[in-house]
Amino acid sequence: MPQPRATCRFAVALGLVATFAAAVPAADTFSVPVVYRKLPNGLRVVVSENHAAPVVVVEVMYRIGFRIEPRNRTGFAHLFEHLMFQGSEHVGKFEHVRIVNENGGVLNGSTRFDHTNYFEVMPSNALELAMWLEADRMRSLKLTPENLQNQKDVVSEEVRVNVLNQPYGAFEWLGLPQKANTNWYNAHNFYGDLSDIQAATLEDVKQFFDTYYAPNNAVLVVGGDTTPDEVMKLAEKHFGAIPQRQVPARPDIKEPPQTAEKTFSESDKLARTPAVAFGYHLPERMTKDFFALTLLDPLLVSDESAKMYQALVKENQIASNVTGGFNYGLGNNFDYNGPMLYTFRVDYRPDVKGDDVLKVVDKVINAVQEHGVTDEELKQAKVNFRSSFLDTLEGGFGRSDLLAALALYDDNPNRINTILAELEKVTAADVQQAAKKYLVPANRTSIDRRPAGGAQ
Amino acid sequence: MNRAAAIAAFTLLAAVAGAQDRPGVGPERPFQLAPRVEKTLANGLRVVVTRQTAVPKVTVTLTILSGFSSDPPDLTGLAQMAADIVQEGTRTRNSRQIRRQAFAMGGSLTAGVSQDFSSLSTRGLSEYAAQLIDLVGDVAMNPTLPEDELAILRQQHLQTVSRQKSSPQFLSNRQFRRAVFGEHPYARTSETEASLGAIDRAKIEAFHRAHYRPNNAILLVVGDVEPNAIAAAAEKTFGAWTKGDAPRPSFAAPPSLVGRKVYFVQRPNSIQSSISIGNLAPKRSDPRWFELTVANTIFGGAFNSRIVRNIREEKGYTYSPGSAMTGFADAGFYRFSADVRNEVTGPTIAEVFKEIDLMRARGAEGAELQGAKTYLRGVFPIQTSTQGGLATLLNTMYVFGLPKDYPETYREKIAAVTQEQVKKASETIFGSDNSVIAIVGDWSKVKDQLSSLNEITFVDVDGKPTPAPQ
Repeated sequence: MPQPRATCRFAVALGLVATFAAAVPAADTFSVPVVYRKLPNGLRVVVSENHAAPVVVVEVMYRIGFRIEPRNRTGFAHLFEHLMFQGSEHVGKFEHVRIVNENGGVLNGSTRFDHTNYFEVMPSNALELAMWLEADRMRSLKLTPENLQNQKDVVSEEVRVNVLNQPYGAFEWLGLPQKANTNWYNAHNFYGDLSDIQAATLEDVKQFFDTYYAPNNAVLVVGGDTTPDEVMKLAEKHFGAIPQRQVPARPDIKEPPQTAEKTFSESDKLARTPAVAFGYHLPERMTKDFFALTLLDPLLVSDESAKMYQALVKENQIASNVTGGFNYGLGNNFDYNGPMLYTFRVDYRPDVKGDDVLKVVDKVINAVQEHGVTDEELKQAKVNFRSSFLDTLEGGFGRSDLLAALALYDDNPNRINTILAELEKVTAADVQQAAKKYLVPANRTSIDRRPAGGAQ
Repeated sequence: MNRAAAIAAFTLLAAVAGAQDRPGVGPERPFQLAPRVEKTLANGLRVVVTRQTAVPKVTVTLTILSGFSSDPPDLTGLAQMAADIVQEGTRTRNSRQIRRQAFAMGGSLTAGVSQDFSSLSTRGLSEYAAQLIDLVGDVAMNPTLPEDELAILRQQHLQTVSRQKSSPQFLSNRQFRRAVFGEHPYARTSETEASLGAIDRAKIEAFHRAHYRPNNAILLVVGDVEPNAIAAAAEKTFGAWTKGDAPRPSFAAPPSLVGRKVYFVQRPNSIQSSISIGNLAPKRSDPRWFELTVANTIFGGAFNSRIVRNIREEKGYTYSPGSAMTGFADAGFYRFSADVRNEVTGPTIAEVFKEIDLMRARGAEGAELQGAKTYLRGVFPIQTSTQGGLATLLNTMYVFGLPKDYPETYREKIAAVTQEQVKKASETIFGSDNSVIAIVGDWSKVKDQLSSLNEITFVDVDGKPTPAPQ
């Protein structure tokens, strides 16, 4: 993903399971093959052929994420993701997992702001099997009260292990959006209150499935060792007869502009050292300012070379670690569709204050606002972004997930081949202007998280 | 499922015709890794190059065949500190220049240190392959080990040590490893405040001089590159590096494990117990690795494994159960781990031993055994389909001296594993009566469930013995 620092670290969040795991294109002509069709029932189908290994990726992404889950059911979109592995008309509880593993594949699912995805990476001779599995659960879902209770318990343990029993409690990616946003859709606890998770009923499940899990609200992406013809035939065969359904209009998820800085402090019973997280509301995705900040990001917070690290760790020596990014902890710059934060987390020395950290941060940002970035820096940022982007495109799930998001949100998976050209157009003046407009304290929310008993 | 439940169950089903019969799986398609080009320079540096062209990028890894196990006992973290500080300045580049240059080529420079090796790695655009090799070579061969950078690193590491002590998963693993390996250097997994205080520039310099030698190193390059050009770049960068005899670590015998040894790390306010259960296992190069891997896959090494089906999908005790075998140069270990809510701490341990005893008594057969083998055979091409995944495999191969045809024969060796071998492997890796159990949690919340366990040793977050908590 464009921000490996974020995605590696938090790959476990909101997933079904914690861990899993040619031609010689010239550097300047590298492109991803994309074939895009829609079935009569509205299902979007994307195929990206790649015969480098006898492997295929089958992914279905539904346009329903935790952002617009039911108001009295926080965490429901994610609980529902787990239920999709509990059985469908022709597949028993957990059989989906058994069938995929026993045929040489791996799988997972994850719930994000605006979508939920499900994927299998399989030997290519099992392509049809994987597509059949996905079609069976798009067409039907079978659930017993026992299986619902079982997954409420599993998901409750997931929230405990990733949030409630962890030092810092996921404050930078789960807590910060709740403080920075004011519209409930953007500002609720999307991993879920344990009581809401336990309150879910079979009726809730049925209604959610009927409302959102329709072919016309989803995209199927198949990548790897296959052909567009083969995939289209199989898609017709297995998904073609699943009826289209009316999907309700999306609610208003707009976030009113923030006009004054918000600061919070929290006490942490489990942490031993302090950390501060802060986030800025981002411009709308795929706009001029968005692309400008996309290129400023690696200069600010990619690794030890970046301005924040150099200032906080090396020059001022008040911090030990700096991370950050768009859609931090949950994805990348492109796989969401709504209000989003540009988030940073700084682990800092116990004998300084969170405010001291923010003062240095403001100095770094003020310098960009006043003097901009140099042409040389911008050129390097473009190279660096391109390199990270190529990692996403390398194969497997990264490529399919990006294609799915671009099909679902932009109706244009081919954009995977034009994003770099759009970034090429960004000028140093664009970067400076976007920094002036968005990276200002009035647009920022911070949480300072300190050990309850003092640092130890 | 009882009858009432079956009636209460519902099916959401659109009445549609469609292909509803489960499709079969076609014949397995051929799989071949790209060939490796291997060359040894006059000074002993081995250079391994594989052309992998999925994207125009390259991974460059210089692996030094000395890691944590080469740290003197009171200087745990020396190898790690050495690998970190070499990136902070060379005779011709300062810290900032090193970072900026890596960035400008599309990459970062990182150090990874394990029990038996230290790796300096970078990954960037393949058009910069020669320059990336030069950068990695420069930090490995010409570091200046600046004192001011060392002071910054020491502060960072001290804070990391402090943070680690708040992570229950970290503490569970560390206590487990200490108990399994005793005086063996593999018991040491992390730095301490004391060891960080004792590591100074002179000690790092001596470590670097002794261990960073071409005949104690391997250069791995995987990517969209031309192998001959890479070999030439390697010769140019590393040709003048002088050889030396790196000292080998001395390995004390790990303790022989008799009975179930139970350790409890008190973590007030814990709402889950972080449990590790396991024991010693063979070293990575052991020829039985294939059958051991199959046995572990069935037990807890895959999503579709007995442990996951039992304590997650049937009982709902935990989100993230699993087991893994880890092999090093001199020995290995097997570990089950899970985080479970306080109330089911005792029952989880009972279920794990029930599954262990079942594997030991009966092994596995039929579709379950076949499925595990197909899983491992299928996952192999997935893991090696990225440049990074392939580089990791090659690193394992060369560090542990696996046979040259390891990648090419892996899948047939997995296919050849028999039912008898899996039974035997289960007896080898699953200790049952002779196991280490390490629990991190809140004693007051779980003690009533643990009364059937043997004598429990209580330790604090630093691993020091303490009285039983109140």
